[in-house]
Amino acid sequence: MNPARQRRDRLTAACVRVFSFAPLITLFLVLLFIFDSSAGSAVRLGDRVLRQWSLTESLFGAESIRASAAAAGSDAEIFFRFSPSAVFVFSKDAGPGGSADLFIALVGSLWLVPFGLILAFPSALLTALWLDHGSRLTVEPGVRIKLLRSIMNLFVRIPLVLYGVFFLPLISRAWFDYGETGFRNLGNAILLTALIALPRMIVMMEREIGRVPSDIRTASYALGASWTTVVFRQLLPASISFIAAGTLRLSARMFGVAAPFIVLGSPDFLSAPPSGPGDRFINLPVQIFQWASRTDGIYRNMAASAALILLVIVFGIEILAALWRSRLLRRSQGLR
Amino acid sequence: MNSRFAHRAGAFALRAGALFTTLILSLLILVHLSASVRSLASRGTVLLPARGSLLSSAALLQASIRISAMSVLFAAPGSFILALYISEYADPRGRRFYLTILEITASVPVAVFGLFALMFVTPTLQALLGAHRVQPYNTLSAALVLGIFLTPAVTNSMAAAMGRSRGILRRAALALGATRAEAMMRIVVPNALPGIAAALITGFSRAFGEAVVVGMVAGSVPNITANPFKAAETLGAFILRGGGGSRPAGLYTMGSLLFILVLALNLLGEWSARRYRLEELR
Repeated sequence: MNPARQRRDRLTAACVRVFSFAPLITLFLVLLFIFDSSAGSAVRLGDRVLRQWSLTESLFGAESIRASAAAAGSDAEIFFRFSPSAVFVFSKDAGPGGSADLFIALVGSLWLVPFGLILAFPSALLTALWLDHGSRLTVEPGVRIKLLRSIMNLFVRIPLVLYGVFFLPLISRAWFDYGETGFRNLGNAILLTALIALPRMIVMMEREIGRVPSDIRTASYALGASWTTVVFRQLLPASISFIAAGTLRLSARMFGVAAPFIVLGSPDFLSAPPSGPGDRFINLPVQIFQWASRTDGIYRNMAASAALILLVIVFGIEILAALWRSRLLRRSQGLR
Repeated sequence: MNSRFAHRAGAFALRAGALFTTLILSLLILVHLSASVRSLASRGTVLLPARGSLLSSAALLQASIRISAMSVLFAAPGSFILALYISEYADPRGRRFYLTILEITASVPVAVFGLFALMFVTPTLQALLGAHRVQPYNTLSAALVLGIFLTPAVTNSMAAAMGRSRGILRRAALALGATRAEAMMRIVVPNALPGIAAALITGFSRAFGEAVVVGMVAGSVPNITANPFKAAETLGAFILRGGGGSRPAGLYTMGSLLFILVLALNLLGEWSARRYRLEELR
């Protein structure tokens, strides 16, 4: 072979191998930076936090930190801040935007995602089973299936902000009169979460139900089973654990949703976590958005702490779901 | 008798569930349409963004297009090379590993990217190019970070398109003595071009509808400018801010505009992806 061509081949391979790491490294850098600024040292005078430094600044700039503590006065003390560990401290005196705020945002997230998914789950499951049945039996799918599919495609593609825009007239003006701000509460936010999750859930469930081997379907029909028997006794039991793993993954995505809740009108500050569906709410991504919008560096560091908690939750769920799924796949290898 | 009842009940439940889903989703669109029409029919300020005139909605649109185009520009090269690596050079295990990593990183919340832009990208740009030139809120850092945000999704669909085009033609080319690189650049990539274009268009539409990052990073003043170092509000950011107030001026109209544009972009992407045919190879 022509040596020039061979050289070019090797060169291309080397280039692709080397440069393919660039995007991955960039993504890794983002995470590293969030981790770096979520902790570090800070100078406190009484109850007030004067200044904060990131982890690397604290490691390599101890002298300047001591100097600025000395300049602040003899009462100033240096302490190590690591806000994620302080989330579960229920006190308000942890400085500006204290750890109690983080706790409130975490409680908001833990209200929204599980309850929203629970609300969406039954109708999503029924719809997915109906869609699967309908599109298998008939040669040409009917009008109802086409309509439902195109609406679902629409809702999966539109940006998340639009869910807020679509939801707002429904709850604010159309039928119920809550006044100016009464409708911006946790119950409506849970409904909104369910609406965001619904089309995504149906798509996921349909994919998982479609993976059940068609032999099972055919054999059941050959034995004289009705289509509801096939759906509820064969398809559902065969795919339900995969659906559960997929729902877990979906919940990781739902933890990161901020835009529709900002449109719905999440406040920028709450003094107590919501205790019922009528209360006002805030969740972790919205809290990050609100804190980052302030120009004060202390609030941005708090936002970094919130981001770290959010990332731990999201990645934890994602990895758990991926492991669960691969385990299920291995166990059902003989079946499918 | 009993099983007949169970069959009826099951069939009713399935139909009712599907009907409920259809109704609730179409209700959302219908209510939104009626709200848009109502705000169009009422006078003056509700029709267009509050801060003025036709000009300000044109500014929103211009900033949206500019930021999305820049972010796709930033995301494209890295995604392309990573997709090439995944589909051509990685072994099956490595491919699965990389695709899993990409799926997991695709779930990083957008607010985290916005925070990264505010705390790292903008200060770095200001340090490199001078604080007098780079405003504290600017479109360049929003686009850079959106580029990072788009990378996993764009890479995923590009790798899928390339994987679909690794067919017999590539094997035939290799059998005729083409090197791996030649087969890649002359068979796989040209064959996957519609899919690659679809991935870029979808990425563009995602950036176009993204509100949180641009709302955090790009500023809140409608501004027609070509200067990436200046602040400019986008459609998504406007909608994000409009809802919190008690009078959502222009919220529904701008929402409809965003809805229609994103829909058109998605249809364009699908059309491009569907054009992929093996016979159309030159």
